[in-house]
Amino acid sequence: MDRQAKILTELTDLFREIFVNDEIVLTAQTNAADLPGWDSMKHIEIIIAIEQKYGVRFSSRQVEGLRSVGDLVAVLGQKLP
Amino acid sequence: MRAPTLNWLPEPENGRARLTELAQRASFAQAMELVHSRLDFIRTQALDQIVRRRWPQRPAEFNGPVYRLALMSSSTTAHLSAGLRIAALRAGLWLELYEGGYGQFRQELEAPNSGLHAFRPDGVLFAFDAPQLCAGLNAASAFAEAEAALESLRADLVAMWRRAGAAFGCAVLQQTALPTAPALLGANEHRLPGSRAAFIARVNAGLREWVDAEGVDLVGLDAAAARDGLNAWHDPLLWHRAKQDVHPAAAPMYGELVARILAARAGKSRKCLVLDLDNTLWGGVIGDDGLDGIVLGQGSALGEGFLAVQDYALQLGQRGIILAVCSKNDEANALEPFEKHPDMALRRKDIACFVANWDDKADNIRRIAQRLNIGLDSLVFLDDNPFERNRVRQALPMVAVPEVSDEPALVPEMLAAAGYFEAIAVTREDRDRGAQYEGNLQRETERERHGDFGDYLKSLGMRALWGYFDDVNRQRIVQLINKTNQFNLTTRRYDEADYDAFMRDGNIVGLHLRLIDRFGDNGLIGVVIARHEGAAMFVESWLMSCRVLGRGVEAATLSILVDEARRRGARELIGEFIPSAKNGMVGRHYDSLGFRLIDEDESHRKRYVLRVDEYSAVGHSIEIERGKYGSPSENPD
Repeated sequence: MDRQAKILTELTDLFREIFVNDEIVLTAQTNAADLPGWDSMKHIEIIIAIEQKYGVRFSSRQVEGLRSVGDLVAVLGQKLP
Repeated sequence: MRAPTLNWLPEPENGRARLTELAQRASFAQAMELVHSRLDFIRTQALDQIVRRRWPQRPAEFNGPVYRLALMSSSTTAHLSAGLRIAALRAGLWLELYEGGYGQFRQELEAPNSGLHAFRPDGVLFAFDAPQLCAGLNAASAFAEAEAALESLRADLVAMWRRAGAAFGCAVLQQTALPTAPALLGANEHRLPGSRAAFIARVNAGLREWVDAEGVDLVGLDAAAARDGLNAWHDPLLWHRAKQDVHPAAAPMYGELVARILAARAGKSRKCLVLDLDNTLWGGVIGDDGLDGIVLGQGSALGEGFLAVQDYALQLGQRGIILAVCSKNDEANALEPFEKHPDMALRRKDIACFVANWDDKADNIRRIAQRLNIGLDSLVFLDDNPFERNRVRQALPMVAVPEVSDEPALVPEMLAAAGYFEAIAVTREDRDRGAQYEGNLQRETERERHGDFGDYLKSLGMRALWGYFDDVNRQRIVQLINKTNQFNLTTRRYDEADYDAFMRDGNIVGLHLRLIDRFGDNGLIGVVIARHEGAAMFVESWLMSCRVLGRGVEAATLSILVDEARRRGARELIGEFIPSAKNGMVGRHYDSLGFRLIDEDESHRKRYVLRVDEYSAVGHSIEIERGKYGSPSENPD
């Protein structure tokens, strides 16, 4: 499994926990409109949960640039060793 | 950033699977098990969402009251509501939350047609961020200007508290400010009067004085930030991104800090700390290692750590928390360190109830609650052994059982962080309580020695000192009114403002009663509030501390009431019993005092009458005296 796919799998697991929904399957194209309850407040929670899980911190610029799960995976990919 | 964690709560087993199950079918009891486990902010959000979807109204299985809290904040609070609701459940309250539009608190408070007024809160929490509190402050300000800004802020806050108190007759809470303003000078910041950092420090110090005069209680966010680090509580990025003053990951702890103040006001704080011995108060096993072999005090870091646990327990005892021991040991072995070990901080006299045997700890804890006459939900059980902790959690879910680190040095801070004993006022009775319970047990022993209970009571030389409501006893009486659950005929709660109104009202008879015997002063233990109307005196509240149960105080109190009715020319006393989850013990109170039942409704609320001219004194062995002074310490006898 390549690195991006691995991150996507891990994020899927995290999203399932956050939304208490084991049916969630993330793709690079998934965005806030696809998941009921993914509002601006939930968005902040998701970012914090990811920061805690991976021990990283997103800058304001990075957060503002996020449009989809694919963007998240890409930013994480740059941050992780 | 390390989020503040609820580290005294046990880690939930299979937390995720249980949340998933709860979302579909698990029971409310299972939801409460999760409420009492260590959840981070993600799981707290999830749990709150599920509970609200499945139980939109307070379910019958939840026996705590509904509490309507309004959050008036100058910043975003939506991310805090799950933490607040779940922490309230943990504290025994079903929280209905109203969040004023952010920054709209002033309008909400002033406009009688606002959402806040329609909500009719039981409590209002004012939550202001540092930028809001520092508005208009200039770093170049002279001392006099900063002083004027502080005074104007004080006046503004006091006006809002009074407005809320007057409009809703509710509890008012004020949060201290997170010290988020960066320093301009440094360590000697206080020398720059216009510095925001210095100003917030002065506001937080000032609040401690301002609230006391107003009957407002603080939620100490600054103290929490000092403990966990400001970064755990506040993130400048999130402030700019979403105007969140409190970090979302701190929401579960934020909820705790608020809920425990609400619980303390509702008389739901814990009252007694039950201690295990081996490997909790000292290292090793006294029965195996002997007096010389246990690790305690001088000479080892571990021994000093155990001593710190004892010292913290001792201080809790000094401030009114009852201490008990529950240990699996032969009693003689268990007592030996208390009597003979030179390094013990705790001695036998500090322990109100000492139980050492080989029975099930859950049974022993039940016995301790009985002997001390307090509810099981007043107990905290401290034990290093996970087996015993889980046994007690399972058998007695109402007893608080914190996790205990195997590093004793960390135990005091953990106990403090758990907030079990959160209190909003300390009275002289609190400080004397340990000694009072100790006297109680000496009396118990006398009782065992005396065969005849009546003779035993006579031998106590009891005196009841009574008086009308006065200023000196205000704090203690209001405290008793709000925390007495068992011996309480109507469970009506009143605050200091009500009390003052009673004192001014010529038709209200407010009585307090103090009991003294040869073992000591039991303190102010009884309160009666009656309303004189025409030919009748209606007893609206009658409550008593369970410490003095079974000693004839009820009969003595009735004779005082009858005298009062005669003096006022009232011909009958009307008594009332309103059943609650906890006051079953007084269900036949009026019957046993010779009152006659008038009626009973479908909720088993009863009314009784006693004609003053038919009153025949119920026997008791208490000498009744009108107390000249507020408290015997001023009354040399």
